[in-house]
Amino acid sequence: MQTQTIKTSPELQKEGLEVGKRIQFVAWVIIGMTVTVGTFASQSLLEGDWSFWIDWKDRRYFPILGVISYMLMLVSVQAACWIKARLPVGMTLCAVGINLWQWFERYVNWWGWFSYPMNELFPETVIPCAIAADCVLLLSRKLLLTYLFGAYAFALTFYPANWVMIAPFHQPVEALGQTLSIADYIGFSYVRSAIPEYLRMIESGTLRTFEGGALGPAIFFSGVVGIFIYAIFWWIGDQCTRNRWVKKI
Amino acid sequence: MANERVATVGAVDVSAVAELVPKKEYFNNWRFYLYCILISLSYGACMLYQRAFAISKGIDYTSQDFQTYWMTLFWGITIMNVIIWGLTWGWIWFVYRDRHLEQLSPGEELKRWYSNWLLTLGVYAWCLVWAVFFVEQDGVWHSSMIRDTEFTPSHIFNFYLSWPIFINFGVAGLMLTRTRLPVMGKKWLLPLVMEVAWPIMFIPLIGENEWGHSAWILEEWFAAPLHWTFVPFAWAAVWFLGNGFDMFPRIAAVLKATYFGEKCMSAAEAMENPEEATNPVHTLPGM
Repeated sequence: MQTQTIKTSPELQKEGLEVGKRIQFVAWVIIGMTVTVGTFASQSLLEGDWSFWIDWKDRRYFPILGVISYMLMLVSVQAACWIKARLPVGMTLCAVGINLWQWFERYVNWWGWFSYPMNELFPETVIPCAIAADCVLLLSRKLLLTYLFGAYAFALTFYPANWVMIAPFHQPVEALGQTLSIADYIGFSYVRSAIPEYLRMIESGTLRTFEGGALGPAIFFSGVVGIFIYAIFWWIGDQCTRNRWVKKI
Repeated sequence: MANERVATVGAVDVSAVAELVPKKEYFNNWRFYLYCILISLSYGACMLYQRAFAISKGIDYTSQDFQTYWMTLFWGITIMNVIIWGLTWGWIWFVYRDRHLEQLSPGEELKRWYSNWLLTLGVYAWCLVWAVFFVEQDGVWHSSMIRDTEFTPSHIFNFYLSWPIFINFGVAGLMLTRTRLPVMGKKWLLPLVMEVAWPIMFIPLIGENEWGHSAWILEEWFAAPLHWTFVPFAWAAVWFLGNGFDMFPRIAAVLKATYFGEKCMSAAEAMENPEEATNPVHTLPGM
């Protein structure tokens, strides 16, 4: 290795530290916003209406699709930050970013352009889920345990974390001679091209277990799916950040 | 102070090639903020245009108003995209290219890392943010309006403006890194290539998406599988992390060489062996 020599001085070193901080700051801003909108695009296109509308936030599909759609990118980001920098906060920071971006989007686009009320289209949160999964990684420092317990920590906290926001809209109301939830009533009041003109019985099934509802099995099932997602997307996060050079593209 | 800044890299006197220690002011992030503000103002104007004329002039493709307000815009944007792509990429590749990368001093390399790599890809990232913003606007539009054609107003700024623009800056960032920075002089960093190439796939996928919509009005189910094909390409964001993590060690090395007088691989060596030049072990304390 050839060497080069520069006579340095305390002033110059101070200047160097300042330059380094400036570069780091703008680099992390760039990476942060890219990862945020990338996660958002992935989640939004995958979960779609279940994330957009309060009347879609049901107890059968929402807990599963919510967990899956967020976990894909969040796990990859967690893996990249952990493998390359031993940062155990990648998933949490990304979750905070996507939540802020979602609220911004919903206000500016959905409410700002077509006046859908925020009560109808507030986004769910995954910040508690991400904190739980990051904690599992930090405390265990083992990949297998993170796959198993991190995925379940994420999945089990998802619905409770959002329940406080959703619960008021699941109260029954009588309208037009029918009993339905407040969420459904809001959905009927604000007609969208995405919604069929009938009440879909999405919670129907042949086996009503766990207090007669589909919520419990849905949550546990999302944990199972989460374990596989964890394994696959941890690998993707690892592969995407490998220092690989090729001669031709 | 200035007299103390003397350095040689191999047999080349780098003081004759470029400024040895760049001024601190060069790394003023306000340049980046200014670019972002200018881009945001342009896209903000597009958003206002869309909100002013989408419903009043943009729901019937066969009307004269649609042709005047939207198709004229579409053709103007398309021609502009082709011109911008040609000029930007042609200028970088044929004119701005540095053909003596091996003579680069660490100070000059640091400046290029900042301008050609960080800020260009930063503007690329900011354009991606706006592209995602317009994707969401497209979702709002389709949740409220029955689909007409693929030239529906929300698509004009989404597919045909914001996506080509981010592609322009992404490819520009890749080309600048290739032609202006020694580590990419002879080899390509895969995460950087993929960070640019992967999102370009959104454009061909418009064909798949619109073909599907020609048969089914799937806005009944915004999350329908027809839209899931876009999802893997949003994962390109992870490549950004890879690019950052992989390049940081070299930036740290040239920064330490420039300001702290520490050893670092020369530009010529970095060209030959980028794997080693970006190995983080060289930037650890005491190495």
